[in-house]
Amino acid sequence: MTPRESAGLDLVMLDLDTGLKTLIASDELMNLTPVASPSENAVIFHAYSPTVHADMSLTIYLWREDHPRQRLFSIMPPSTDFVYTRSFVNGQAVFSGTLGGINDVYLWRMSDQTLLNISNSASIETEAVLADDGRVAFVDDANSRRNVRIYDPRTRQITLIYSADEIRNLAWSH
Amino acid sequence: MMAITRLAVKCVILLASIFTLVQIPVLLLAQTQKAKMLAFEVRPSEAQFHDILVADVSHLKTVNLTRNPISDDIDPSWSLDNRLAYISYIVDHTDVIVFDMSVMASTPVSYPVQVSMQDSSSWSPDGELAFIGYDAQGSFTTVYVVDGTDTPPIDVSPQTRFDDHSVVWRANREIVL
Repeated sequence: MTPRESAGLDLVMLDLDTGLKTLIASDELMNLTPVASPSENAVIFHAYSPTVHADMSLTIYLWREDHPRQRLFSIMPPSTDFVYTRSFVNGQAVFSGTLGGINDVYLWRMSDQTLLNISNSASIETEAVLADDGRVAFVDDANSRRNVRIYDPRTRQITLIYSADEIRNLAWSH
Repeated sequence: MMAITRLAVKCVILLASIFTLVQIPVLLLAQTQKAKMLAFEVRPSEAQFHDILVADVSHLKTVNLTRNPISDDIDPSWSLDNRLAYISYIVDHTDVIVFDMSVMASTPVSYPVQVSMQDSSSWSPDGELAFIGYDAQGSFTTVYVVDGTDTPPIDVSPQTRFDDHSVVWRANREIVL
């Protein structure tokens, strides 16, 4: 990369010892928003793919170093329109967005590639974040308010934590 | 001007700390019981700017860490040892502030870099913090790393611009953007 040249929206790795290298170029996929998982040695991200999907749908991908020939694959159907990828912890990821026309929060498990709808509500969920103990916090906009709710996989119950006019950027402690 | 801004940042942090002191029992309880905490940014309907709230989800208690009317506080991010970084815009300067749960105190760590308001800070496994800020001329954004001491931020991607990128550590010494 030449000095002062824009990295655009390439997915890049900045190795503090060896420098910058491009993992995925922006002419291959657009609108990358990476979420790293050190425990999985992987990066998960969502992107539009003008070359793969003619309808420009949003798809979620995984990049792993141990797939040198096929480092990139879709983990969701091309018609999926997921809007927010926030967490990738201990082999699980959460997404909020629309699948088959229904907006909800989904938990994806890497081991068997299963997808579970955990919010299952009529409200619009805008973002979700996964804790390292498996709990999922997400925001919905029911009753004209933004609400933070927590899904506990042990009880499968959802608890309301906080409500306000605007809530965003959830982050779990460790 | 820079000195005035720096003083204003310290005054706002001090004011927020006084409010936080009143609520410290909630945070102490969460800390001693190693309870899971959830941080998020909130803007009430009557407010112009965002605050950072921390919820002890086991006891359903919340604490407003940044309660003040003149700073916009966004993008919370936890380190593995539960320090909470967030981006704070006040007057004409944007800083990264770190709230340390072990001493219940906030410290600006990005000075003198002007931090980008894009959601853009991330902790490494060993406690370094990466964020996106402007270069010395203020003309484009680059990646900085601070180690949590008084050492100024280090530009780790000199002469490469990262407008509109988000930053995440994949491992120690490896950042994905």
